Amino acid sequence: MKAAKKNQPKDFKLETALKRLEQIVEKLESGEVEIDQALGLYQEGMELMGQAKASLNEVNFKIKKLTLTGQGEFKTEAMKLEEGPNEQ
Amino acid sequence: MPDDKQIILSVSQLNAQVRRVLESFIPRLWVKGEVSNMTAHSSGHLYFSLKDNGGQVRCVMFKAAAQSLLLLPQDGMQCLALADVTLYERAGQYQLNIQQLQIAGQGELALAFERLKNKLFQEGLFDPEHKRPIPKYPTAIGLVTSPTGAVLRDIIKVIKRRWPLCQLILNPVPVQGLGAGDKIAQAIEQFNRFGRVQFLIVGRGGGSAEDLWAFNEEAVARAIYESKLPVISAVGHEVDFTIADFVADLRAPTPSAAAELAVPDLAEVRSGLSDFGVRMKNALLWLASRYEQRLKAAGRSYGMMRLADLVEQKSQQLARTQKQLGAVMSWQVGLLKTRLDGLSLSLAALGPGSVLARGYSICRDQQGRVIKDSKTIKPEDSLTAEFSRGWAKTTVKETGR
Repeated sequence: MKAAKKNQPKDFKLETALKRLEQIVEKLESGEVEIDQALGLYQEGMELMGQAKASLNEVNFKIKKLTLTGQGEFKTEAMKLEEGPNEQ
Repeated sequence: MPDDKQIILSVSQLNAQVRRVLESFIPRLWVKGEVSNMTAHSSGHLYFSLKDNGGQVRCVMFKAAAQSLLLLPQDGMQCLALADVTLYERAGQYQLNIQQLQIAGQGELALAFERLKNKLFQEGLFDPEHKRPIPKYPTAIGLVTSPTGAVLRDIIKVIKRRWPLCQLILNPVPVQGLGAGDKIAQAIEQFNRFGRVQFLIVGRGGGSAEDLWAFNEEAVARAIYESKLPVISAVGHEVDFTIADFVADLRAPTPSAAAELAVPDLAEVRSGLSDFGVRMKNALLWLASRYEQRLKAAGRSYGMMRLADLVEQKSQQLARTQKQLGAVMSWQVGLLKTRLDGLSLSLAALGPGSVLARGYSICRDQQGRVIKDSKTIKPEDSLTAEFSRGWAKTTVKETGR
């Protein structure tokens, strides 16, 4: 969540961005837009694509364990997988 | 009266002796009978009788042994018990100390399953309208399963391969044995209070019907139903259906399949995104060429000027965007810019320049905007008129239509 923050709005949602991109592509492909509107859509699409690509580079895989503190609050801590026999 | 030679025992001594006799002369044995007068004490011990048509015997099942039960025995159930015969000295009553209790036939488990299933169905816990979609591109997923065992490792492996953009948060629980169901229910509820995951995967690997029983418990079903976070159930193998599967928002046939269903494939999402780029570009180029043709055909100065103007303006915008988007995107924007530059060249050939040469002129306001409508200007505005050669600053005297 660090490298890509620069050109990415805080509330960026991949799902929303992809939905909007789909709309933009369909609108452009329909041909029912004026050229200046088309350029606007293209530009919006390119910006969304840039943000989406950046968000896809945020490889951040982690496995954590949820624990409850004595005060009844939750915290997560990094966990190492216990190596064991491959039982079910 | 007993004579002096005979020993007199107290009641306690007698009971202790009888108990010793019973315990040492009767080996551990199997007894079958029907449960009656069943009481579950708060200490965790169970008290009941086993009976048949001819008689009955008191039984106790201590907590340690009772914990391995999936179902509490209920009055009327036929059971097979592994027991030690002993004497309850206080009452002077002989009884069985039950080590294992099998509810006779698989029938009882199946019956309990059907009873609960029907009850929850009637209450609407399986209603399709209650099922929520699983968020498509998760950044955090909650897992409710055993911390050891292959299931967790399988889920981690699949998600790490397909969608390494998310975190997995495990709330470890026992997945079999008496009490496992309550722990699973509690873990689901805790995740809802914790809140910082988008949905849950609840499950365990394959096993016998008894091993999977925790996922047939009412507490688990209710916790899944109450959960505000959508739940994917992943219990056992393809053929295993548990009550949890019926209540869950999505049922996965196996834990690995749950992981596959839970996340998209990053490579696919990336290529889908590139497709969008290609399609947008193609559509735009097609629109531009269509527009160009229309202009050529119409040959109208106003439209051409407007387009030339627009092309210039948009190229500048794109140049700015290109900078913002950085290297990743630059080739695509570059491509468009090249195309647009080409377009302005060809427009220039028949565009504003040649129009000016025919004696028209372009008026711009102080911001450099081309005046297309007298409504946009008023007397005393300064305008710049551009001729084929040279320009003039002018002041508006009067406007009209």
